[in-house]
Amino acid sequence: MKIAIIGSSGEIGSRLAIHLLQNKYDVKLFSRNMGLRLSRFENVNFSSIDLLDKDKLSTLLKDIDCIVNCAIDKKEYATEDESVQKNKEAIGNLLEVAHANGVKKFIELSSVAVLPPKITNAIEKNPFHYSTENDWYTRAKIENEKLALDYKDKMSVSIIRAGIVYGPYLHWSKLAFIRTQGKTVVLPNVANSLCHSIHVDDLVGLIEHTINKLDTPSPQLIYGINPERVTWSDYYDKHGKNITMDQPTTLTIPMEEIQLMNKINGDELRRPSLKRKFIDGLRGLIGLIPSPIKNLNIYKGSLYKLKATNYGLINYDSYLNPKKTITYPKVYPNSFELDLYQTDFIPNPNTDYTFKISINEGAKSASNWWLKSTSK
Amino acid sequence: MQNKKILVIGCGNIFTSFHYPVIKQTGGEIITIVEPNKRNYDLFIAKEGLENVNYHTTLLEVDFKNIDIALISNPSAFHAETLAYLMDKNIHIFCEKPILTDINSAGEELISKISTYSKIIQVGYYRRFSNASNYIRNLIKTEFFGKVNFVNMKGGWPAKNDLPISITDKKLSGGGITMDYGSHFIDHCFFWFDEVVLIEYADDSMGGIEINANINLKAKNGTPIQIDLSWTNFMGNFIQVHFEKAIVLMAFNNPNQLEIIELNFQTQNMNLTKDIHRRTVETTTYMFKELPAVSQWIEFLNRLDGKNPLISNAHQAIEVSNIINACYKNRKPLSLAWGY
Repeated sequence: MKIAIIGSSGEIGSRLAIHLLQNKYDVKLFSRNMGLRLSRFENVNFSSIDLLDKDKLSTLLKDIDCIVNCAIDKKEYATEDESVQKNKEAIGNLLEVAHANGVKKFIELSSVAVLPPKITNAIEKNPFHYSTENDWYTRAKIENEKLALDYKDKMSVSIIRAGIVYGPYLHWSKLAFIRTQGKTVVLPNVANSLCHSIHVDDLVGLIEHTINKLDTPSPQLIYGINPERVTWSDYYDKHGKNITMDQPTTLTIPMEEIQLMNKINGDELRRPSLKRKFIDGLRGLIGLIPSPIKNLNIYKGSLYKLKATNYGLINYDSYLNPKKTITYPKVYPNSFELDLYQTDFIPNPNTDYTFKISINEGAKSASNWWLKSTSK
Repeated sequence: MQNKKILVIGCGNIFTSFHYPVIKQTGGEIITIVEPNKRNYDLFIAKEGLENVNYHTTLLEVDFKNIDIALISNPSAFHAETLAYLMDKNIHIFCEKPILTDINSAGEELISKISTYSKIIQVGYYRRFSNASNYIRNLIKTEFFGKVNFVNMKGGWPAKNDLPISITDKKLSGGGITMDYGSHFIDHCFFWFDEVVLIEYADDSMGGIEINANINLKAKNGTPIQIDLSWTNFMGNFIQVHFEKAIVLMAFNNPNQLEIIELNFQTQNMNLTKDIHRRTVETTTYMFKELPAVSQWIEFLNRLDGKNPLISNAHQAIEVSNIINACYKNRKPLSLAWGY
């Protein structure tokens, strides 16, 4: 089986590429540039590609059985609309060429960000009830999913919605290291505040598992989230301890404070616009910030919305019913701590990977969580 | 550089960003360019509005009659071969670093050829031409703050994932961060301590280029030197020289400033917050008036005019290559320290 990884120089694509190559899969790698992540390795079958160049795409994707699309165009365009449009155009080309070239399986790496911030029972039953949030990333991911699903009858389409992907060189881990180094991470004080994370190697294992199931009914929707019970405090504490932070790094504050912050800042915190930054600055200047928040000293750092935290408990049943467990082979340790510190993954090719999360296990609503940093 | 006619071999990023501005500033004349990628040549000529520049795709086509200096700025893996060819033409050469990427039998032949070469060879380790570097060298040589206990060097930053192929493709670069950026640190070790040997080396290459590396060296006077390099983490880009009586901190990208922390050993139980005297030394007028890259070219030109050099580096550039070669031959796998 010939596999093409699109976006192979990215954080997840490169990890997947190396895993498949080490396990003797027939893999072709595509990205704009080979990049540092792949250049550590030798004998890499890499081609530079621009997804907007349909002719070249058609030539390079000849005789491919399975495409894994890990690409998202993060280039800064003039407007967010343009950014979404370019992403749509790119994946549209890819799907069109894949179908024309007789590709059997198409795996779209999506994100739990496509779900709305607050999940109700109705949304839980309909996983395609998308978020209406306006940031380009969410919109692009939603559009990519929709386009892929349009091809569900023409080839086998699998959508993998990944959670917070952490691990070596991963953005989310770097963020945790930066925040825990010399800073207190402020989290909302909410019961069962779980971090729906997945180690990058687990996600890679899940993608590999999906690749090997060529006969899966189409479309298939999979959540890429580890079932361990990991709170956001755990997540930051364990990252912090990895850089020898020997004191607690997280501070919880009442949810009401967070909701107030939410009200003040609107819904643009995930990637604040210049306009938003200006308004925030102005608010700071004219003292419009309510005094309890000023006193908490939490307004100093940038605000980041951890979108994926909004989407509740995948495998919720397994938390309520401890007997219902998911079996893992040893190479995918079920311990968060082991996962967190695992660095150089050398998988066993004979392992039968059994990671399976059904959409029916659904997502439960958590609250609208926000994360802030403040100097100690 | 008045009247000096220059042959440029490779007009990619290194030439256009580093060398050409200096050549322009010092009045050199580019008369011939060898560049296999015509697009690079066209872009450069159009941008700079140059006329009457001869263009060739290979060095074999070049007429050396009117050329004073050859500048080698093609990918690292071709430096040695290009240098050997140019030495047969008996010409002054400015070679981008490293001087060679692999010390095999051909490399050894090249080294012996360089040692007897009658014309001048300069190698692009320009950072030793900084005032800060020279200031520290003098502190070491004069033992102004006593002997050096150890040296700690950290270099690197989370590099963009789209570095040029001349760096990411090992066939062109010969190696990763050790070859590209680490070689500047190793060059400093030779500049300051004259002789250095490799103790231990580890990197994270899996057959391709290395992105993270740890180099453990020892100077001939016994001073241990630790160099940590990374293209995935913020390393700070600094050198700490721990003298008996002071710690001297050099920001690697700030050529004209040093921070000196003098340790007061009068107090037995040293309280660092109380007993240190911290001061910043401006080294702007110490030795060079220009930025290090410019100073290096001026030094090179002075030597062409028969003046004695303040600093020379070609013979030690070979030693740097020797150390890197030893690193790669004795490498241990580096477990990936990730994130921070």
